[in-house]
Amino acid sequence: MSLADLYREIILEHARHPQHKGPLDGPVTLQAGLDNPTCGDEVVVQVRLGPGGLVEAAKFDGVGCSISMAAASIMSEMLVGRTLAQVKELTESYTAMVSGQKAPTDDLQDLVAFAGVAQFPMRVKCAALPFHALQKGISRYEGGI
Amino acid sequence: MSGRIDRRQDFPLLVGPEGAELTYLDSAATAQKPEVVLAALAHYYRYDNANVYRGVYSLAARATAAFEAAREKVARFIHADPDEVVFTRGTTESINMVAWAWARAELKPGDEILTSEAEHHSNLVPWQEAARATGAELRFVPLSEDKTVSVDSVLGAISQRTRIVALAQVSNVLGNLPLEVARISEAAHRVGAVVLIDGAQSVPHLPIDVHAMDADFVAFSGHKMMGPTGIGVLYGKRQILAAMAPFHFGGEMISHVDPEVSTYKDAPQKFEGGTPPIAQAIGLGVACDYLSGLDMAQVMAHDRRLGELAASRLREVPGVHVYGPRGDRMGVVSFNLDGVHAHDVATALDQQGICVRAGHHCCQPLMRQLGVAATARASFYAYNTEQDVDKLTAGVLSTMEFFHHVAR
Ligand SMILES: Cc1ncc(COP(=O)(O)O)c(C=O)c1O
Ligand SMILES: [Zn+2]
Repeated sequence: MSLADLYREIILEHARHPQHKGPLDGPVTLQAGLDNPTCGDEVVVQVRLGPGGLVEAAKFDGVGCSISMAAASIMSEMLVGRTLAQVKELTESYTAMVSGQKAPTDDLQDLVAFAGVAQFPMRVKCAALPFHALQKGISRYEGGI
Repeated sequence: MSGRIDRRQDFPLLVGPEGAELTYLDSAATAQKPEVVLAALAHYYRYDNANVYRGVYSLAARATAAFEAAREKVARFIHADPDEVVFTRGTTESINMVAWAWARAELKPGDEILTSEAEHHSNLVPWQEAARATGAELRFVPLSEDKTVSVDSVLGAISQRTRIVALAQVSNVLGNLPLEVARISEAAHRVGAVVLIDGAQSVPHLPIDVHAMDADFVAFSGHKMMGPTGIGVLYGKRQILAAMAPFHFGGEMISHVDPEVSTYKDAPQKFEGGTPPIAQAIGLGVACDYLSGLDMAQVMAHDRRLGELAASRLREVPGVHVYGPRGDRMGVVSFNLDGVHAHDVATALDQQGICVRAGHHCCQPLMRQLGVAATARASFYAYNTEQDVDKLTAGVLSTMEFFHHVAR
């Protein structure tokens, strides 16, 4: 395992120039924040659902290492146009990959870049953080909270 | 200040095929253990294991004698008397014991607890809770420009209302030279306040004389001074411990129990309810002797030399920020690389066999004071050498190169 296996170019690129970062303008359907108390990564995810229950806009904000910030950036890009059911599927597929329970699959698209995280147990939480925040937001929304 | 110690060979984890490749720079979190400590733990369980105080048989007498001998070793190490040494689980439990057993009995609304924003959460959160419970007020010593606590600012912050001054002698983030506790004690005692010193980062690294410091309480952890985990110490002045109520009630700490009411043993036993960590205490005693054998003045000089060398080498690297005092310092060096998060630095260094810590180091208010979310931290001890500083510097340079090259 070399450093370059963890820090793929696309990850460093997104960490440097995050996409969809900042507060979501307009109505917010669901949101949640989460932090990683052991290391201080913090992320807030905001999502707006549009017609047909499709994600119309998604943004994140936060501070943290390049793994957590790049994961939040790529995640936000990929959410748009999906149903909540598809978002949940994506989340499960991704968290299974970074925790080493599943090989990368094509549905993960750019998120495949995070496959190397499974070899760095101390960084799995960083990679999963934005998705865990998203999951929290979805279950709150579905629970009517 | 000569301070050239090279004792790596005494530490089994750091020798052998895997260990030899390791550059362990996280002793501020926990120290490695010398062979003599490991052997003492094994010896105790193989030959002397029995519960203390209770048994009449000679095996129990041997265990009790070894346990009490450990208390004497620890007392000697900090220049205390054995009955002033209370065994706890560590610094956190020691401070909590004072925040519960002492503070809740002694503090009232209008009283002030003086601490600082540079403290470890272990020396902050218990005081927040004690303040809430008693109506006393938390006060913070103004920090210097480098965010360290200076004795002068402590003296300026002590008021007629101060009842307790609770400060770390050495910060686990900034690596400041040890506070001159005697000056603080004198000022605090003049207004009738007591002094608690968080010695987690000082007791392992410098000669300690609690009577000369004249502190009322000193808290520290065995695992940061080459002893086992699960054992720590609360030093307390004899007359204060005598007046203080117990904190854990149960077996071992009682003298006479009736169904309705009980009487308790004298200090230190009255603070040690339940079966104590016997093997761990014995291991800590051996660690104290090992450190004394190195000579604590030499240990301090050694750690300082490596800390100062690392800080000045890292400061020479463009884009590296080193926190804490310029010049004289202890062997704790926190730093950040421009544009690279501390986690990423720690992972990159780990790839080169260098163990540093990254995060807030249980000092969130201090991170806010420093204006950062996290830092990387290298810390040194008697098994580290100048070569480890060389590896750290080279590792930081190549980390910088990796992230800045790929990201360009
Ligand atoms: C300054 C300081 N205080 C308190 C503690 C807490 O020590 P322990 O976790 O052993 O109770 C530490 C350990 O990290 C420390 O560095
Ligand atoms: Zn992280």
